[in-house]
Amino acid sequence: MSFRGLVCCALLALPGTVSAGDTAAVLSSAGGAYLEAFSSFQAAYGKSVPYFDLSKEKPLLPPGTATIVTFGGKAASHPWPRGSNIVYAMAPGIFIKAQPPGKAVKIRLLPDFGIILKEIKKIQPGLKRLRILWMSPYYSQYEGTFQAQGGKLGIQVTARRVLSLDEIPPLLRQALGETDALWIPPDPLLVTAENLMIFKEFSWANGMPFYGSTKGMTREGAAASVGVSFREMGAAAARAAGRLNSGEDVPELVFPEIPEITLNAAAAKRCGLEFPRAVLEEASYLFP
Amino acid sequence: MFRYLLCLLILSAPMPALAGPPVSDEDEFFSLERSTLEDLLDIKTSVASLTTMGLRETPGLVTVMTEEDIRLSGARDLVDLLRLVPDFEFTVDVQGNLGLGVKGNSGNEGKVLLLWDGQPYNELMYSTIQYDRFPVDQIERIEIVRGPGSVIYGGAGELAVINIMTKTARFLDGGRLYGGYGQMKEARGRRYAGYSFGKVRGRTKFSALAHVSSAQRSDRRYRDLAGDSYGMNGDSDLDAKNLNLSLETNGLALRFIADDYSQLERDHFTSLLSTGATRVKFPVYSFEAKYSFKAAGNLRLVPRFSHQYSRPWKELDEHFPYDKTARKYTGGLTAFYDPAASVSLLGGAEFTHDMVDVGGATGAGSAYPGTRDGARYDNLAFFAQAALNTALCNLTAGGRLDRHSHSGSSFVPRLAVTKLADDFHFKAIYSGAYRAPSVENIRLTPSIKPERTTTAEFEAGYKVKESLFLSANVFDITIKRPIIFFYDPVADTENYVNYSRTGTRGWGLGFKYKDKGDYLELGYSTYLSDKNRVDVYKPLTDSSAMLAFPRHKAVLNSRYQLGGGLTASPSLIYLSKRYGYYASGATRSYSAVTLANLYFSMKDCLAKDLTLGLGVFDLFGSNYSYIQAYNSEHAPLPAPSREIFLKAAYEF
Repeated sequence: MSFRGLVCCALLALPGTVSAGDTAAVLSSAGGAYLEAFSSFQAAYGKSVPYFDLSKEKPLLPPGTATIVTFGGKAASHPWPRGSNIVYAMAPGIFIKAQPPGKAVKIRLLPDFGIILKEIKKIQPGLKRLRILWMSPYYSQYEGTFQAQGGKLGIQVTARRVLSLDEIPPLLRQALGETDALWIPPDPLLVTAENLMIFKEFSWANGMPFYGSTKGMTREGAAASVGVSFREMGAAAARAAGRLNSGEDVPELVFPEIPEITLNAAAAKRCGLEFPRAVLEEASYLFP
Repeated sequence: MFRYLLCLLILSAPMPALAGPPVSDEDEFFSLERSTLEDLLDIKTSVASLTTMGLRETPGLVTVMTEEDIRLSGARDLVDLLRLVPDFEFTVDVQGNLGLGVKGNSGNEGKVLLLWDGQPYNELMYSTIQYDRFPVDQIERIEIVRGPGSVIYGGAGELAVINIMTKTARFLDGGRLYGGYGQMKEARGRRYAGYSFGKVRGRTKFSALAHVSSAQRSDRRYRDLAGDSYGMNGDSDLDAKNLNLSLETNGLALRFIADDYSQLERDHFTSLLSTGATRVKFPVYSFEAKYSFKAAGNLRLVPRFSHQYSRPWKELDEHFPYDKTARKYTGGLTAFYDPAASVSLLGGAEFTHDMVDVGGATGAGSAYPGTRDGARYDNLAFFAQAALNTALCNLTAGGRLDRHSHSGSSFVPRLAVTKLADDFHFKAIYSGAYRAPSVENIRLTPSIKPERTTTAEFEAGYKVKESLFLSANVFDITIKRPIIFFYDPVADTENYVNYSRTGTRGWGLGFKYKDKGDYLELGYSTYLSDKNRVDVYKPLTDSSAMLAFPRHKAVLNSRYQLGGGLTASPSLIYLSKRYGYYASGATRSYSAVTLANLYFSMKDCLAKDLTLGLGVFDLFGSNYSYIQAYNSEHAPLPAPSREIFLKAAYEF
């Protein structure tokens, strides 16, 4: 078992019924990425928080719980008590409303879009046209933001929603000659092993880089990804929960501060990219 | 027995091996989130309440068919799709036209509302629907309220609402060419082709959908109650041409639909036409302008204007000369206001003006008496609804008040309590509904009164696990003063009467399994007719069934991904024995039938972006016929025999 696994086990072995506190955590499933983010949350929060695994049990929140921190979409969309603050992380494509006087704060799976574009521009300085593909309808609301941020960097951003998986090949073919690169957000409806294979084959065959938003996407063939680690999401959730509990005003959308940049040398080579030294130094992972 | 063994064999075919387990934490994360998101996205609907709500919380018993469901089912027409709803069963009306029944109740003539891209397709004269006119290959989504919708939609949504949305510009994002061909046992079943185009440029969306089709009701032999018969091949054509244009920009939505449908009929009202078939036309032209804008922080307003021009049942020969032009003008304003996260309010007003002009070719029996050459009716409606989301339950209360210039005032309320708690949900709904008399109801019987319906429904559902969902429902429907048609063959006249009371009560079950693209749904519906007091709805034998409707209906609908882009979609529809008239003044039972269909669809077949489908409908030749749901001397109308169906679609 890895060190991380041991730490996680130790954290979860802590008694789950700590005294009635201000914060409780609920995980869609107490394993893998959710556990990694939760363990980071627990460490950053600084004190033990009662937790629940929604895949195994119905969460019986301690009396007086003011803030519920959720990890995963299933946990986020659970019907929570009226008036509770909800900090929800790792719930791509899901937006919830808290019932007053509670507040809902979403921890994004991405850094600010401006940061993403800046990093991609560093990797591909000649980038003028970027096409974004997504599937979950909730991403549509960011279409204007994508384009505005791109405009600031001299990048023409076009966004296309994929309405059915059958549409991916024609949309990719359509991109030829119309764009210099693709960017795929962490959209669970689009990010599947099969689709990543299609993106990789298209990208490598046509020398058009595709950029992802997670380490796994880089591993599967993206030239690079600019995203946020699960650990950082947990830490950002801890900071948001702490601020809410101390009565501070927290925006509805929180972008984790530290981006995670991952690179794929083979993909870059196939697309004719050469990673600048600054990018290599900044990167968390470089897949050969 | 052989056919049932074969069915079992098909349905018990092993499912394809499931993919291996996720290989990393991230794969597992995306897999679980995908499942959550698909679950959430699949269950949003606004058909029952106008505001978007989860399917398990919305104040109505709702069925949703997605584009994928429709495409992979291989449905030849809308009848194939609606037949998959256990609560629905088709019947014959007159002149080759079909009607729809809901939970054992005849829904023909104004009791079921069908909206095609928001435009009502209940024709204005009798309020019937021509179910064979709709191009299913253009549909993106169907939302069905299997219960009353009058509180939102007015007088035609008494028993059910079918809301059909065609493919949007965003969905199309380019062109699609499609065509289909069906061969029945003895004759061609159908051939059709269509083209769909959609494009999005910034905030502007444009789509154009065109379709042309030529089909036949059946290749079998129709025999009227007197024993006379004719072969339907060549005498039961169903021809449709349809153009649907849509433009949306900055909250303004414009739509124009030109729809020219006609059918050949020889079955007529009672005795068949001895001199050959006659063509009945149903042209409809609809235009709508709608604007949605935010008037203040949480207040959204949607003003709307629409105009519909139609000439339903147009027939210019000697059999039933009918030449009437109907114009419907509708103006309305709906306001949506969310004062708090847990409260949602909507309200609005709608004014309709109906104009009917009688053309010179109209027969004396269908004309107004004296020198009168048409009719004008107004209807003013106000509606309101409040939805409150409390810790205990979701409460939705609303009502609609209609004031019709001829029929007077009608008020219908609805109260719904729903709750989604973890994996369990329940709905308890009490609805009032009504059926407004149609133009011809009023012409033939000026004293006719609106029907009044009260319905109580309860549904409970439980998600056993992510891939498995179970549900059960009970219902109690009471229809007071039902408006019922009868045709007097001696005087050759139509008429309408308010009978005393009818209705049904019953229950249904649902089982849904979905895993990685494989899908299996089993539905069952049953009813009792002990509330019915209408003789013309009853079989003459002692039975607890209503005429035309099976007391038990079970539907098994499934699809399996066989790999390499190939999908198999078998379905079975079981109808227990039905009753109908087989001779004047004599009913009998028609034995139980099982309609078995099997459709294969293959993506990127032969060429990239080419999808081919091949299916067999009514695999075992069940000899299914549509039975008249009321005693008006019309014999059962044969449905198509076994049909081999080929479909192709190309995207570019």
